[in-house]
Amino acid sequence: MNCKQVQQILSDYLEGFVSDLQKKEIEQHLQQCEQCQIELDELKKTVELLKNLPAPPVSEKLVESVMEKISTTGIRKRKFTLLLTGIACAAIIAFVVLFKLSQPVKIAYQPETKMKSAQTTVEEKKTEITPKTPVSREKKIAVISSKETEKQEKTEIVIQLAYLGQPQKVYEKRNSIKEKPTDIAMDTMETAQQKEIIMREPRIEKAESEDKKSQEIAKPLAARPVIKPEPVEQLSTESEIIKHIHAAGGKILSESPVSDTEISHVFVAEIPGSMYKNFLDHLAGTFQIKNYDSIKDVTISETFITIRLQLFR
Amino acid sequence: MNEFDDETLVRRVQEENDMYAFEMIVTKYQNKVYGICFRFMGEHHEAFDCAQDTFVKIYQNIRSFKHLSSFGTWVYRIAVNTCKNRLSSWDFVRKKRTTYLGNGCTDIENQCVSPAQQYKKTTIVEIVQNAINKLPFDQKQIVILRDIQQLSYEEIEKITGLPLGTVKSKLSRARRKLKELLKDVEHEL
Repeated sequence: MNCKQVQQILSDYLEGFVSDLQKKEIEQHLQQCEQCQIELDELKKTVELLKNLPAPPVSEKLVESVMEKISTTGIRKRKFTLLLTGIACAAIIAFVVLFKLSQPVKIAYQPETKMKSAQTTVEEKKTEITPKTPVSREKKIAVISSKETEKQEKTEIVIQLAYLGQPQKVYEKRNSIKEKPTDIAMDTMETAQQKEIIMREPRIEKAESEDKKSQEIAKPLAARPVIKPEPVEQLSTESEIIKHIHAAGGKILSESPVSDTEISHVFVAEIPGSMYKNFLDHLAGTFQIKNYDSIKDVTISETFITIRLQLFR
Repeated sequence: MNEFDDETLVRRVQEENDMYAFEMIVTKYQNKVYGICFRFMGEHHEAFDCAQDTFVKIYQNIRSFKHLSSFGTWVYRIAVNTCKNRLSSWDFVRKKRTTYLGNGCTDIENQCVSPAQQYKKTTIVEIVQNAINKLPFDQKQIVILRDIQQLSYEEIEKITGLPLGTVKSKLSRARRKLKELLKDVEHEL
């Protein structure tokens, strides 16, 4: 060890913080080095001087002044705490009152509430006629789509017609809708549902049929009488539709057979808005209109309505 | 358990807000606290104010003391922090500057008066205090706590929050610096 190294750890040496090896080396060095010995002596004297410094005389008033200050500070602190508490309470009350005032009036939840967000008149109407009881998952109401034309004079409605081989029978179809309307489509139930039940609703016993319908929905799927669609022989349905369109004062815009497994024909017709209701009633007498519930009460004010008819097998 | 030991007195203050117990605590620690404050501040008036503030802080925060460490250590830490805040406050710095300007050359290292002449005018204690005043705060607090108040290294670690190695190195540097500053005094002794 050289002098610099020794002098750097002399303080630790005095405190006994050096290892035995270091202690031995320092002591060997100190025996040989007079300068380092002087350094050590001076350091010892400094430490002794600091240790022997007399304690400064404490003022007799210290305890008294502390206690006096505590009593005044304590009262002030308590007052401040009370003030803070009061402010906090007032702020909480004000917040609660404002929060209550800013809350809208709560309306009991109804399943069809979602539908009320629809924007067009047709959609609003549809919401009104939707059954209030939650609809069974197995039942899917047929799709209605409508759009206002660019001129806003014509409305296009897609009507899906199913030919009825035997009235008042229930059909079960799977994945019946292959061709979905390309316009604004509103599916009243979950789109994930692939099962569809089409029901014939006689016009006369409507109330009774609704009861049956609800009972039918309430039944488990397995318990329902499911009749598989029988092969339907091709009747002159096209001519009947054309006849109805002409009777309603409308005209056929296009007519095309479809080589689809379920849709056989697609008609696009234009009928006067005023004849819309009569036209539907005529059709409903012969065909089962899948989305009849949704479109029968639609009020159309436009001059002409473009109707797209899909005829199901 | 002694009626006047720290834990009993502190619990009486914490639980019953016993002012008599707190007065006993102040009485018990006033010498130590005042001694620390005086060595940090270097003069009685400032030391008195710092000691007073220290005890007021102790009273205000005594309910947060969890009895996990020594009450004495907690008291010293508050005292050291109070002095530290005071030394770095604008009021103190301005006052110190004004005092030095008014007193002229009071510095023992000042060229106007040699250390030997200064020694003749003042007592050894004052010279040592002046030397301590010259130390940076980190070194000053270690010297005061270790060499003057003679606290253990463990207590110093808790009070300052510095690790043991740092405490040792700072103490070593502070002692060597003080040795240089007090060389003339040591020769007289």
